[in-house]
Amino acid sequence: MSPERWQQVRRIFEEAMEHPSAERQAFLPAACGEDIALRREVENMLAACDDSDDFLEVPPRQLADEVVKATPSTLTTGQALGHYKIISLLGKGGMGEVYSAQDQRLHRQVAIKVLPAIYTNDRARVRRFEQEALAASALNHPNIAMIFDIGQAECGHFIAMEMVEGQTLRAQAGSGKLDLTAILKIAVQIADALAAAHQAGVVHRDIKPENIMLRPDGYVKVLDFGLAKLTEPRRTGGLPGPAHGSSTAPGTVMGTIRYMSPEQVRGLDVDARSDIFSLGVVLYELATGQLPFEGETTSDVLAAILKTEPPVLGTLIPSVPDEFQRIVNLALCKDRAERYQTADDFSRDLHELKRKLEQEKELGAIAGPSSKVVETGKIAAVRTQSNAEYVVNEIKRHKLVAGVVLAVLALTVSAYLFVTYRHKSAPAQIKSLAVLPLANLSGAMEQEYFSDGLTEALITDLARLGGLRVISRTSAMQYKGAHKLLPQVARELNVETVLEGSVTRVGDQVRITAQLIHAPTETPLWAHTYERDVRDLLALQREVAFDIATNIKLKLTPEEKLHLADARPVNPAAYEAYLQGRYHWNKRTADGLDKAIAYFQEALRIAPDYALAQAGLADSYHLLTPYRNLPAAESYPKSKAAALRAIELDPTLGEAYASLAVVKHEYDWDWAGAERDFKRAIQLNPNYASAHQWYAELLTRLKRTNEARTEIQRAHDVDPLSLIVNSVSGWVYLNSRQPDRAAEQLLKIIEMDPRFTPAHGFLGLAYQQQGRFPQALTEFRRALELSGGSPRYLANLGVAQALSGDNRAARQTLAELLQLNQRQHLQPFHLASVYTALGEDAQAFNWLEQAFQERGVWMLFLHLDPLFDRLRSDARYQDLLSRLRLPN
Amino acid sequence: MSIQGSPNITQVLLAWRNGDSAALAELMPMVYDEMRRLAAGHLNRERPNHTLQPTALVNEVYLQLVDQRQVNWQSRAHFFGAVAEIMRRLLVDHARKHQAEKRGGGAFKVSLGDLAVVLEGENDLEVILLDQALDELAALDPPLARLVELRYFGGLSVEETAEVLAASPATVKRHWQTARAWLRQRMTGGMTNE
Repeated sequence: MSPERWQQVRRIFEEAMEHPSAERQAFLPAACGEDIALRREVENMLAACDDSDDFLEVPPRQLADEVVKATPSTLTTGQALGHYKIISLLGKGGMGEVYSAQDQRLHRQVAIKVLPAIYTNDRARVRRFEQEALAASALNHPNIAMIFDIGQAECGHFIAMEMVEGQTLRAQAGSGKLDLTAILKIAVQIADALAAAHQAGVVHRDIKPENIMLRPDGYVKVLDFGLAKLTEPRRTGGLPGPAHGSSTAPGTVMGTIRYMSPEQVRGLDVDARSDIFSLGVVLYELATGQLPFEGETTSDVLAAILKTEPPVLGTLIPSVPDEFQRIVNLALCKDRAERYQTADDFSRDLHELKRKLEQEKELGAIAGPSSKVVETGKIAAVRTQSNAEYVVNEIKRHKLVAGVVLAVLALTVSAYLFVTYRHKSAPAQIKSLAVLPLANLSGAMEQEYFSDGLTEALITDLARLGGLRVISRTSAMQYKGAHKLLPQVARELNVETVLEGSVTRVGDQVRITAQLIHAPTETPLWAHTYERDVRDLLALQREVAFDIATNIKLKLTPEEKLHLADARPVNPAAYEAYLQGRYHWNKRTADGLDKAIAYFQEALRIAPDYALAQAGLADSYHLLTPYRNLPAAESYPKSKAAALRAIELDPTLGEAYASLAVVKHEYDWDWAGAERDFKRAIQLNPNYASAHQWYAELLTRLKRTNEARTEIQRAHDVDPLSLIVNSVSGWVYLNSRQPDRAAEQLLKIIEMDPRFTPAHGFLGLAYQQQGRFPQALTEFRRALELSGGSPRYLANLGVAQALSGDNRAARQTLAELLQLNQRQHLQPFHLASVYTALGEDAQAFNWLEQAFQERGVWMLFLHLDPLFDRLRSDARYQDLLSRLRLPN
Repeated sequence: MSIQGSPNITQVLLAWRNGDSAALAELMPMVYDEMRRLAAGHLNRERPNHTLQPTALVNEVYLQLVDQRQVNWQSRAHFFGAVAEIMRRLLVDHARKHQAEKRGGGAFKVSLGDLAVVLEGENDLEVILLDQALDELAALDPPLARLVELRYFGGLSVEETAEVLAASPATVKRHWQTARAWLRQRMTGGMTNE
């Protein structure tokens, strides 16, 4: 057919159509004339024209299937997402893809929701969502699907949440098969969930049957709390309101719209009462099988929500009790001020009605066998609350049983639960624990110090407990951000249990989640979420420590209990400054120490009697000599004053005694006093690695080598990954003249971290003792390079050069040192070493005498370093040694 | 944040409305992505037997992507009109694929899932035939073919179609009747001929 011909056919056809159908046949001969073919074409079309069916009137149906199939899923089985391993795709929703996944740490299945990029490309939106999700994740209620985690991976933002088995309420809602008792059983649980969430300040915003799961055991779980925040700005503001309400969309089935509250439709801010309305819609639908606000198009539905009163429940279902109608109508009030004001009230009315109906049913059952109860039982998904209740229900049905039996049963059940719970929570007495770095979920790097600080504080509190070996922070912190499997962590740290958790801070609110896990088997032992004001942080942290101690069956001494209970309120700003200070102190760099001092001082400015900050200050000052090369007289006395002040403020602070002991050892040369304070420090805080390490150094000086080895081993037990502890372990060998073992140990550290300077220095000394000068020179040069030219290593180099017979090089190095001495303070002992190695004894003794006058730690190598063995016969050496009161 | 919807797509849509025909090419991928996302959502949430209608889908795409305050309802119709072509392509590809699977797969491995596909296949055939018939119609009468695309694949109402085609609703009604009749006789005829 040609287009021209078609136009002819079309014109005649359309004209024919304007005639009533009976007259069309008569019209055709005149219109078509002799053209029989034309007439047949038109006749065919007229025959095909049947208004009674819906040919092409109903749009194609498989489109949704098609587009879904065409969309590849983001993740594949086995793929890792943080410590979650994807098992399979559960479904794709408007809010993204949902997978089942295995939590590799806790060995449980979780549901992972990957949020669509369309929502997460907008950072402001993501931030809002994260805040909401954080609030939602704090919700701990049996009817709320828990949010475990929110995170970000390559594929985008994801949420890990409780895996809920069962079906959505949607599958039940339209069926109309639920009787009122069953509906109420569901309703009270949803209302309870809402009440709990609202109390925590979380509004769901998208309550609808698709977001409510029915578990086979009868539990209802409300999903996706807080997630509506992601889509909300669009939905509220972006909907066509009455202003552009002429849009029509035949057959629209927009799930979300039908459950919206009037205020949502109007794009107003929503509060808890919006959820109440939405639940009202759900209940109406469950009871009647139809929606209260329906319409052909989106606009019609929206208009109905705003203006139309729903069909009266009683007219649709005559048997419905008046009270149910009243409850639903109250929830569906268009003016939110007239609605239930709280989900709590809503819930109370629903519970009351449920109770009444159940009572009536009981009465009915007593009056005569009725099939009503059995009917309820048809709905398997909602038949029973739990196994225990099922038993109770069975008993009730037989009506033979007195209340006593029920009571006994209830007791038995709870006793059973208690026993299994206790059994689960304490597999054996736990003797060792590692607190892994708490994850910072606050989203900002600036908050990193906060989570690290809390980790440390928790370690500190737990470390004070006798009978428990707690891995120190330097070792624990190695696991920051590392996604290692717990059994591996347990092996590396040689611990039975691991505490994991997260810290979230939103404004003045802090939330800590903590999970205690038996690491080798990855069995969760205990978990808890704490939420407090930031001002209660110290109390909170002690509470966590106390809970952990109790849960691992630690017998606390009254003193320890007192300490944990003694959570004096601390000014939050001061505590924050303290945490910042510790964070920088732990970096153990010159700059870090400067910052740490500034922060500790800030903390003390805010809270002058803050013992921890004083101890931090003491620790920072005495490290200034090794890290900032400060003259001993400028650092140690300040450290001592701070330590004494800290002890004055809190006589139970082990850290403070350790700091004081260091000063007594290295500066006062008061061996007995130092030992006493080290012992006191260790008694107060048996898990303070630094105390053990520093004490080992003292014992080495006193040539009590075996005891030194024991102490450094203890330091190693609590801080196995600490580079300095491991180095000092090599150092103890070195200074007890066991260079082979020292070298062996030090090489291991360099393997751990090739840039750790002290290890290179000690290794050079070990090689030197072994007589392997070229290797010694290499190590000293490396240390010199890494430290940016520290005079200490320059002196080491000069000594090694002289001992290897290269006097020319040694003299050159000496010249360098002397030149340096003009510009900055050098340790006199370093110059003495080089002169000794060069055989210039007079100069050597000059500088040794000066070193003696300056005091400080270096002089205390006089009797340890083999370099000085040659001078032993000299009276000046013996004189120095006796003045030092060091063992010969 | 006060901007509703994706500012991009709203601007693109406005540009297209103002005569920038290249804007359409830019619009399509965005629409397509959004449509997939929404369709996926519906499939997951609705009852299994409750298949989403394309119009509802497009409507949601529109609500999600376009800032309602910047465009009027006529823009919506134009948007739908633009999308109709995508819908047609999607459906036809889908139907062809199913048909190919049916032929290639043989009858041996028919599981319950496959059975559903086979049953759905009747619909496939209709879509394929319609597609062919529409091509023929387009050769004879392009405006009429476009109208079918808008009404059937785009899911536009008579009034909306009128807006897009700049015609009166009465005309659209009349033409729709004609197109339906022609397509039906063509398609049933086509079936008996084969």
